[in-house]
Amino acid sequence: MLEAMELIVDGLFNFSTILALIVGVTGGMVIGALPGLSATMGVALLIPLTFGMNPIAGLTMLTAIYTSAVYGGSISAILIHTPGTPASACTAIDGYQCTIQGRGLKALGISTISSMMGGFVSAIFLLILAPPLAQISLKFNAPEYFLIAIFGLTIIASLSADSMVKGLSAGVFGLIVGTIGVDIMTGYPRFTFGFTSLEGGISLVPAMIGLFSLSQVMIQVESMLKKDDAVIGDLRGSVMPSWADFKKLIPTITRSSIIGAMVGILPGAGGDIASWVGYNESKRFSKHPEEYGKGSLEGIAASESANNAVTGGALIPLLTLGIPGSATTAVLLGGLLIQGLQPGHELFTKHAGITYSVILGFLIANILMGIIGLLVAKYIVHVTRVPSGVLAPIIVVLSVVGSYAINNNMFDVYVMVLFGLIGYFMRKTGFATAPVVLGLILGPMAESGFRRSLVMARGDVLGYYFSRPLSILLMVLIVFSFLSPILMKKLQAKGMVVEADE
Amino acid sequence: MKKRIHHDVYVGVFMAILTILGTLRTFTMPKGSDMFPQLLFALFGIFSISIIYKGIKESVVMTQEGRQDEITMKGLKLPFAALGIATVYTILVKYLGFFASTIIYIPAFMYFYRYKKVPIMVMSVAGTLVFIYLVFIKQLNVPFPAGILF
Repeated sequence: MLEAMELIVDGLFNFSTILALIVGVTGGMVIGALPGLSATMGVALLIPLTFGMNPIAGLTMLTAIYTSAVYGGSISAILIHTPGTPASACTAIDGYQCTIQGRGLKALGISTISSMMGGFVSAIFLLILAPPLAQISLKFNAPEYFLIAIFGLTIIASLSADSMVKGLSAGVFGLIVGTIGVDIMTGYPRFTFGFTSLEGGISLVPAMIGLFSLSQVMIQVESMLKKDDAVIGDLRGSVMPSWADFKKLIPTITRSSIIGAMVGILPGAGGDIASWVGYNESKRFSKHPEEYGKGSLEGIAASESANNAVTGGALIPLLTLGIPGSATTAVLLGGLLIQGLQPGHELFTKHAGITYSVILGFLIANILMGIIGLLVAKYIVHVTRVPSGVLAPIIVVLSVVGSYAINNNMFDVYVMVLFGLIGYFMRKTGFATAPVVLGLILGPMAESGFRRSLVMARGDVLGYYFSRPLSILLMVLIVFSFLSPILMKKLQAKGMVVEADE
Repeated sequence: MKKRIHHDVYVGVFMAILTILGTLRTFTMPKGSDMFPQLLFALFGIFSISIIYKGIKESVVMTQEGRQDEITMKGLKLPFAALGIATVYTILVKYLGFFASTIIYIPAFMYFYRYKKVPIMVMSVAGTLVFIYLVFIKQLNVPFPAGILF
């Protein structure tokens, strides 16, 4: 125990981790504030930077980018009425009204403190709930590994696309891509077409960068001829809210933080859903519901604490069972695997020092995000004025560099370009790209679990699967994941009622 | 009435072709290696039929309403041009070296984007290259292609 504590303190409080935290927080805020750039893209683009870092510094930086990008989205939502991320769309309603009324800085302050508290509460949830949940993975064997991969895939596929069939197709496509390379059981090279570079399979990082970054550049280029007329609102007063203002918001922030963390734990439900649910519940409990949509500080606090609380919640199924709760955590899973860490109980036993350091680093990142946010948020909004024409080529160059750096191989760069094209068409035609990444990651686990379980079943596959309680539970969860779009539509409809009201 | 075809039809057909080609390829694989890909292609094939069916239904509605598909060849021109420039850049990296091709690529892309402020172009190139040099070459020891110029 004492040894682990020592490792955590040593791992967290050293120059490289502190620098990684600061870079992650500020970088995440900037990425989040830039409309069109998402937390997922930021994490995908910056994963190559973590190759040379120790796991604690690297993973802390990635989680810091995640939470800060969600917060960063609120800066542009409040000051220029353009949500930087989908999760801050709800904040734009009251936030921009505040800016019009000359209370933009106050709204920014409330948003910063609420985001910080939401993220902090979710980090506590993560710290308390993850270790006991991880014990479940101890009971996993081949059938469970196969089913957990299918569950992860079905839940994210069924929730992340307009159409469930398209989401599932994207997931299966990812699994197919995951079969490329030498079959570890027979040594046969599958779908390599004579390319030796393909024998090790499609590299995850170039595929992710292509799907999330290059495709985003192509989407941005579509609107390059449109004139950008967003104007930064008038900024007066202090960013720090008064104690009287803040006191009134404590119940809202607490409630929304808990809602956000719970929504985050549900795989597939992201910050956008959490912010609408948090906002709606806050309006229901409010003594002044009529102020919502007209610059309500309560509304801003509700949506911002909820969307940042999702981050820690989404890390729970990721770290304990290897099921990412959102697109960003799917990419984070890649970052985890690159560092040689496998989600599950080993993260909390064998690698406890690293895992707890990263969780505590995530908690500190949220506090740091609050402090840096209060100091520089009003300046960060000016970053949104950087023209896309300047940003786009830099993103492409970083995509090339990141893809090349993984194996020092130009082939990976061409893979990135190909996946950029695939990602662009997928997004244009209503397919989500996150299930592809997940399929790519979970594919080998699903296949080896499936084939090993067939051997273990000795002919009676169904009987074998149904004789294992955990397998039955996972099969029930898979069925639930197919039904979850209906549940999510109801939750979204609840949010949309509020949106329609405004 | 001009017949319209929804993009889902094309996507579904593409998926179906991929399914057929992929499944044919699995027949050359040894027993054991072929099972999982065959299962996946079977699922992919079923999904492709479902997407084609939905696409045909959408196409009928589009034809009746005289509505155009949201994806048009004209709309794809600029993104494809951007991808083309990026592809040429990646090829140049191999032959001219990373730094030389980046010095050409960034201003070329900015020009394509109709951004013509030269000082910003110079600063963007310099800033990006300094960042990459410090992080990837100095810190991570990544050996970028030197090309024929260096």
